[in-house]
Amino acid sequence: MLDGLEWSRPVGFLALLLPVVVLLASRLLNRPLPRATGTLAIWRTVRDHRRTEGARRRFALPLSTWLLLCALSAGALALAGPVRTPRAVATVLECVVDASPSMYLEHSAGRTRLDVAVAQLADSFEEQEVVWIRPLATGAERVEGRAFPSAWRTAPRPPLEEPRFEEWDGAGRVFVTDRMRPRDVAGESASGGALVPGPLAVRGRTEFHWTGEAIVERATEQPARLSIRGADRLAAEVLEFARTWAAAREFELSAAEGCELELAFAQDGELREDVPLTRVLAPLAGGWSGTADAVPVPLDARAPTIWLRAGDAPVVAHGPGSVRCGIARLGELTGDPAAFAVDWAELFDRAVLPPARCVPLEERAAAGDGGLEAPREAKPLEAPLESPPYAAWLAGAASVLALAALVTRRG
Amino acid sequence: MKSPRGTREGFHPEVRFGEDFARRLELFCPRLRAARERREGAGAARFSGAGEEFAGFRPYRPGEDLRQLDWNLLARLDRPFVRVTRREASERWAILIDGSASMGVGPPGKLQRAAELSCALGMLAVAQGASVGISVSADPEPLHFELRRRADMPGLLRFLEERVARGDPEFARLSSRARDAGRVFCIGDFLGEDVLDPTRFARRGREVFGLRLLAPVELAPGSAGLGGAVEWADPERGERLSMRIDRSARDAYDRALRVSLRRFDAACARHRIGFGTYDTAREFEDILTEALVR
Repeated sequence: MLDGLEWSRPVGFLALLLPVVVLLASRLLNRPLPRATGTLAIWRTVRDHRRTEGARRRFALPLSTWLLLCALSAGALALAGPVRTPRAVATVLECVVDASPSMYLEHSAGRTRLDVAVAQLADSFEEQEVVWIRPLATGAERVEGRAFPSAWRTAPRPPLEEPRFEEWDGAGRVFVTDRMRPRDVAGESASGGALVPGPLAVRGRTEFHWTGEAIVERATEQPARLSIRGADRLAAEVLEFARTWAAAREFELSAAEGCELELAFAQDGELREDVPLTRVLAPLAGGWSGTADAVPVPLDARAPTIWLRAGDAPVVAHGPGSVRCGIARLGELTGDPAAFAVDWAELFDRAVLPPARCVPLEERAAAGDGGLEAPREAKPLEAPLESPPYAAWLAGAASVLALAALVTRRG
Repeated sequence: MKSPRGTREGFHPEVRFGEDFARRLELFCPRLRAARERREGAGAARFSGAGEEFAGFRPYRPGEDLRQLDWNLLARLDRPFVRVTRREASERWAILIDGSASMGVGPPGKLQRAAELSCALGMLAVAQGASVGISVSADPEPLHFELRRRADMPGLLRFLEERVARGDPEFARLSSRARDAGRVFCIGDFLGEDVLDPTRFARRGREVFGLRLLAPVELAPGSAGLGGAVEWADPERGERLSMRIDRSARDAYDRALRVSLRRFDAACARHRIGFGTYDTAREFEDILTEALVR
């Protein structure tokens, strides 16, 4: 808390002489007053009875004097104007994190490439603010603080693409990745790492496994899965198509969580009798049209993208691993019947996630030796940390202490 | 005069009579007589004691010597009276003054007040035709002044003004000066149980009075405004004691002092020594009036 504490009016320290003067004066005034008496023997008796206490308090200052001394000291310090100045190197280090699948491959001793890159970067931190940045397809997540965000240590679903590092090449930035990248200004903490054999894809109960030299097929007990929720309310044609798509892609139907694709009947709010369900479908892709009894579907993080509208209402939306459908019954379709199937197949193929254990071949490639390089230019803090009002705090404390001294003295 | 061994505050060892002291002495005898008349009734307003010329009667007070009771009056009036007598012209008084250093504690110094009291008693004695021997304890020998008539009074004042409270002379040595006295006044602070030994002064047919003088700072430190850190100094032995005086210390001192005074008063009462403790802040007229008219 007192890092970088400075005094804007050092001459104010002269006021510290005041408590010293008060202390000396108090000692002077409290100096034992010599008094003649013929009853010293009686006083000695009194002293002996309270010897322990008397010896300790013989020349003790009264509490009110101590409080006054503290008040004067606090006031003097307030006069000296304590302020916390920004640290000498007021810079920020923006760590741009590569969260692509390769970063979650094992590097060594159970640690991922991300773990290694973060660790070697953290060891190099100096007196600077730290911001962690994870670029997304649109925008980026930012977390301030020296500690790496723990939630970022697990591979995101769906997988994130590798950041476009050239867009992040700037002063005060460092790339947290697995291999050295061409840069102009930014630094880099690259984990490096050997190639990592493992599954690339799954089809039915066959897994395509890369050994490091070749791709081989292996049997697997973990086929890709499709789950269908609210099947009894989905239009029969949509349900039939989904099953056909799963069969063609060799997906197994499952009711478990965490399937590679989930088709769900969803509606935004309650169905209302007075609202006609029959709408004219307006497919985003061309080639077919039709009518349907459909309800609007909610748009959220799991299914943010509208794929099919009925009037102004979204009736089919999708997102990574999720398709939401509000079509309860399809009416008459017009146009090319094949176009309907092709459009829906493209929707499912776009939404489906790869199996979590499958990482593309290029991600599994060796990442070299890695290394650590600081940014060539530092990035200054835009807004230096504001100094807490130390002077006001001290002045307040001085006032309270002075009041307490007054009350104690009167008491 | 230099204070003994660094004692400064509250030490007034010398005796100085003010310009109006002689006039106050002249006024004291009528004032005392008037006080006694108010107390005992007209016709009996004389400072008198046992075994001398008959002067009258006064009501008996509880605690008085039953030998003084007039049994005839008791039988006739069914009320107790005691005989009041006048001392014969040849009676001798002895006034014994403690001159030790502790008598310098004040203000005013206890020796100062003792000197004033002895002058007033001397005036009283001379007025009654008695002779007075005034003795002051001192080292190496006690000092003495003989007062036989009023004309000797200036000499007594000079004698007393030459006295200084110092040292720790033995008060008991003054007992030889009181050998032939019918009335003895002991004046001092009598701090310490062996300072005034009643057995040394009590005699059959002799009246002994003890006037103990204490300075305000000794009698009631709280009333004297004493507080904070104090370094007590004993003028006689030069001993010192530093301590903080607060309310609890003052209360404890008061209790211890009362115990000490009561013990000493009881010893005097057993030997029929009239005894009183007085604050030197009071004027000598008040002290003597209270001591003699009671």
